[in-house]
Amino acid sequence: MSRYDAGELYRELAPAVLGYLRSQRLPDPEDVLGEVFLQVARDVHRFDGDDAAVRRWVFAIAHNRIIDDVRRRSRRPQLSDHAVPERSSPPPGDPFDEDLSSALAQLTPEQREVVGLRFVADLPLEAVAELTGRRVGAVKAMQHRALATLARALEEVAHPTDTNDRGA
Amino acid sequence: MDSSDGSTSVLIARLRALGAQTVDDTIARQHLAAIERVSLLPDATSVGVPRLVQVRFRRVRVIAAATAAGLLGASGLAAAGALPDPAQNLAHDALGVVGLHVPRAADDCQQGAADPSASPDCDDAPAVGD
Repeated sequence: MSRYDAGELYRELAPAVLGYLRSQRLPDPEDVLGEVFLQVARDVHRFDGDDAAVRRWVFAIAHNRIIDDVRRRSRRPQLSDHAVPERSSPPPGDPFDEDLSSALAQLTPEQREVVGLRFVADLPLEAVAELTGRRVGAVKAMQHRALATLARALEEVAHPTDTNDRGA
Repeated sequence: MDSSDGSTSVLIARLRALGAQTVDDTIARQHLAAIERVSLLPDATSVGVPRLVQVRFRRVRVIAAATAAGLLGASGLAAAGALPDPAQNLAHDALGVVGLHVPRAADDCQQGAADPSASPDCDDAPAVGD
């Protein structure tokens, strides 16, 4: 019998999971958040591990849900007369970092995955490597490149004219 | 620590701050209510449902096996001409449609013995298929 309660896990981890889902630029992060914790509620009685392990487990579920969501969307493209927003807007008053979100769009999906798991989900390198099926060294290298790309993108957002001048 | 280390630290801090998002109250309440519903059903959605599905599939398998055995048995009896007369005649007509040859009931054969052409299926050695 697990010592964890799904409701408590939600209160503790939902903000981080939501941030992770948003960092992956899902169109409906709140919907996926609900799906993640429903699965947690279904399976938590079978979970056996400590706090670090339960965090890894919840983010593994979120990670798999993202893969499912992307796959589902690619299989069933939605037809609409309206322009599809790149991602859902956070609710008014939400302290979401808009510039950072735009900068994340410039990463490859793999880099975004690593950065999201490593820093937004706050998982150790080994856990990210295990979750993504890469070697620790590869994760480290990908993380390094992703941070450099993000820094450049944020610099462009902060000083758009400077970078344009430099590029001209 | 040089300036690039400093800016990387700031960047990492901004990324970590993404993980401290607030979940909208209304959405959080909906999620928690759904979680509670799932938690109240002991094993209902993770273990229980697959078990239900397994039980249903087991039943379907048993019914399918029983039906197949019944059909095979009936066909065997029909081929041997051992069914009751009405059933034997029914089997003769029904299986004849799909190309399986089984004899008519014995009474029909005896009645039609005077005119063999009236009951051409009254042979001594019943056969299945042509």
